[in-house]
Amino acid sequence: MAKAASRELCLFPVPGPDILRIYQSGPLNGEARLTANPREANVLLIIGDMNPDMAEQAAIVYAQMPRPRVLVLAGPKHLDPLPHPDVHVALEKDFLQTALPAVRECLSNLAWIDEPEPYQPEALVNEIEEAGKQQGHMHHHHHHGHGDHGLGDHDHSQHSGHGHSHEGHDPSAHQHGNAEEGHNHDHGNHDHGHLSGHKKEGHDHSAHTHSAHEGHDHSHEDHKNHGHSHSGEAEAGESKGCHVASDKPGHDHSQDTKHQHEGHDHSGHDHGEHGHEGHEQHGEHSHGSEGHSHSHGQQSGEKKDSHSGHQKHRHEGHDHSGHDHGAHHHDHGHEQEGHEHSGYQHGEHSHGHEGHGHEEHDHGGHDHGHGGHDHGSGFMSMIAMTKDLPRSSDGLPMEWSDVQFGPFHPGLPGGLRLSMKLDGDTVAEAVVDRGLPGRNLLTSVPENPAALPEYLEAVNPMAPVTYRLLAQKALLNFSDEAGNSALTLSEAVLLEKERINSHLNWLAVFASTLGSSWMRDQAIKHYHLFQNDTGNREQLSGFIRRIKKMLYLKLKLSAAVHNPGGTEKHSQEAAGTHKNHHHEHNADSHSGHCHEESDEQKPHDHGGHEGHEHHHGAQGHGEDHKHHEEHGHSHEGHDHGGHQHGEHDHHSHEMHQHTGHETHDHHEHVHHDHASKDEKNKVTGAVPGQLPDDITGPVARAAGIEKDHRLEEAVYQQAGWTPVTAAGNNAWSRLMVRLDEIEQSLRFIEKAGNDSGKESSRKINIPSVGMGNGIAHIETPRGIVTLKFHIHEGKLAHMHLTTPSVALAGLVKPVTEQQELADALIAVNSLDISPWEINP
Amino acid sequence: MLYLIKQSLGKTLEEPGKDIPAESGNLAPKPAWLRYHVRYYGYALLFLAFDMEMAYMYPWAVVYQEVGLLALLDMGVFLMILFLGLVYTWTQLGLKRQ
Repeated sequence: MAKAASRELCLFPVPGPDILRIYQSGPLNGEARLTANPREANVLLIIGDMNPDMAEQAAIVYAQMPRPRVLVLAGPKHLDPLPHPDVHVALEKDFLQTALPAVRECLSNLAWIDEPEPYQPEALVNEIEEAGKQQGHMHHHHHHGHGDHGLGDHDHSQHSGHGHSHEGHDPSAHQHGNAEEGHNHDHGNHDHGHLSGHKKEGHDHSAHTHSAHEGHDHSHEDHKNHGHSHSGEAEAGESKGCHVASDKPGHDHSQDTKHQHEGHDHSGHDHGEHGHEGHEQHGEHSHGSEGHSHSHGQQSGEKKDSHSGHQKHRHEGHDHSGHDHGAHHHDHGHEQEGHEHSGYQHGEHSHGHEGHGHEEHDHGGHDHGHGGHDHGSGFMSMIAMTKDLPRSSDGLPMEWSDVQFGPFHPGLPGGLRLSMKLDGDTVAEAVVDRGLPGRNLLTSVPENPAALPEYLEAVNPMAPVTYRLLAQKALLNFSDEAGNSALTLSEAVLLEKERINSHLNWLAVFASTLGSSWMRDQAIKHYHLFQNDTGNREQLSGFIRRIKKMLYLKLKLSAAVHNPGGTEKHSQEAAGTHKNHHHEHNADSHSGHCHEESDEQKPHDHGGHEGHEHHHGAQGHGEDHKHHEEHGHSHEGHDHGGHQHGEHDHHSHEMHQHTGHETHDHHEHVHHDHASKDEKNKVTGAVPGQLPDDITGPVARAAGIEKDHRLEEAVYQQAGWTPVTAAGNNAWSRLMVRLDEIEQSLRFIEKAGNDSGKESSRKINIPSVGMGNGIAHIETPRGIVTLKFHIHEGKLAHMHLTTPSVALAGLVKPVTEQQELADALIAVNSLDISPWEINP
Repeated sequence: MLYLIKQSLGKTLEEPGKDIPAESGNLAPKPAWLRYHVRYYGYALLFLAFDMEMAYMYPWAVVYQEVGLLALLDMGVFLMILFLGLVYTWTQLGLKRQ
């Protein structure tokens, strides 16, 4: 059986399939298949070295894989906290061919082991415990209307209206786990079924008149010391809906005014009076009777069961923030797995919880709105209850969830992690986590400048040739008195070949996200063909034509664009409104970029101003991006879908010709968010406002900005090369630009003739006593990369790399805001961010 | 049966992370049950209405051939009434996701 199972190999590559493709000569044809989910995989394939953060993520993936499972490391011999690999191979081309037979053997031999060792990495265990504590901590902040709940006595006397009439509710006896907070509803497995259907498990709510507690399944599972400390603090921070396995501190039903029901889904849970009317089973809420120790932690049934009616008080995620158990109107139906009181009206949650802070209120259906929850007032308006909940774009208070996409998400570049706040299926906010796959190589710069090309090649496995060429250019720039670091034709051909491969690899990931398996498979096929220099230009062109004809895709990725600018040139009237805007808005078409490319450094801070040293030095640049850049801000026809260019209170969108930018201060890249939410473009991947100047590459060109360093290269000029631009500023135009660039590169390579792109044979002499700076720019498939270094006495003293992906990462938030999740992922994909280029 | 087979194969090894949803290499201990937006209630109602419509069409389909044009007209009226409801919902943005 094990042998039969070992025939079906399901690989989960880490960081991602796009990295695996780099090391494969061809697609996997039946030998194995890639899976998108580690739970479907039996082989975890780690490709290359990785930093400890990513290794931890990989360990989590490994822990989540079902047995039998095999760990394959290609490259490093061991990575903590992963276990020792079952199969280790060197990271080289086609390493998988070497590894697969060993994997099969492993699976068939080791599938059934009598006494397997559980895999319990300390980091994972700690993280799970930490997460559990946080969940419980969320519960802890169920200050019953009290800002700092949890102190001492749960003075139920203040729960006036708190039909909870805890008379007899002796807080001291109310041993909710930690008795230090008064009312510690230790709803471990405490089913506060305060209603018919409420299974009570020792939930002693004596006189706990839980009215209409339908479904109040305070399933306080694992709620040891479920301290319903409805504190005023927005403890949740993130919306903790249903807490699972929470070690919650005592459910402090004490007088908390600030009832933060993070995740307290008391939908319909009318804690108002806590009258528990209808709380049939809530017979004897001998709440307060001794023995009412809501230590339902693990005492599922062994407790003081006077929780008749306390059903499943599973407070997982029972963030009674605002849950004023004072007036526990545990309405019927107050069931909550994870405490989702769907339909609960904590409106009447008259817990008297003033200041019911519902920040991050994960009330799946739980309308607590305990603002102004007044112990004793007996009434809580819905507005008050929900005042602190995050608002959706339509104004409804809804729970938001925090989700991580990546670093091993099949629909994103391998290694890229997005942290998203989701409002249902809409993205409220998304940010890129930086530095995850970074190999931190920039911290270990080699001393020998001659080693720089090889060193840089390893920085970005997605574009090794480009980075090597960049290093060579910079060294030539440094060493050659003539400063002749221009690319040769051969090097240009290499660059274009890598561009084709990079775009095809990107297309495969993009197609995966789109859900088009045909496009993905074709892209992979052509990628491998061109990687091996056996590609067929006609076939590839045919494939590209088919994509361009996909009308539905075009509609999906672009929309009827509200383009007030249209093709008109924005008049100069806007110039007056530009802040610090000294552009000369010539309407002339510029002949190209005027990269103030001189030996004086006017650094183009392309991409990544964060954390990069902006050596704006020489020209009196300030820190805030005085970009002396070629503003090919040709925004005419710049589809800012939905953008009101009229409102662009900044750059006029005209063709700028900045030859010699003297003091341009422009850029406060004011991304005017023209949108009001309604106006906000609904175009997939559109960037609201104007693109920042540090955006280069296909993203900039797709917005009509002719920024391309190849314009500065003589070899391209001689070939009559011009950059491909598009008029849209959306995912479709970026796709079109990349497809057109593929074709353009094919033409360039064909025109180069027999020069098949050999390695440069130029000699680079680094004098042993040399001192000085080297700088070079190169147009990578994602944008312009700038390398600067300083050599002192023949040794590399300092190096700085400016990459386009850092700036592109900054676009993630605007392109994803208020987009539906799938569209947001497509939009992020369309930016082609390389996580290898983003270092902390 | 499958459960019994599984049980007979051996005890499950308790390991951390196994029962936590996979989230691309991150831990996701929180359940994903959140409250749905109220617009989905509208979708559900609409579905229900047209589902009932479909249910009524089954017996109609059985007798359609026998009854002929009259059946077609009757059902057409029925469908038209429901279609008007759909159009109303559409115009009232009930089908809009955002």
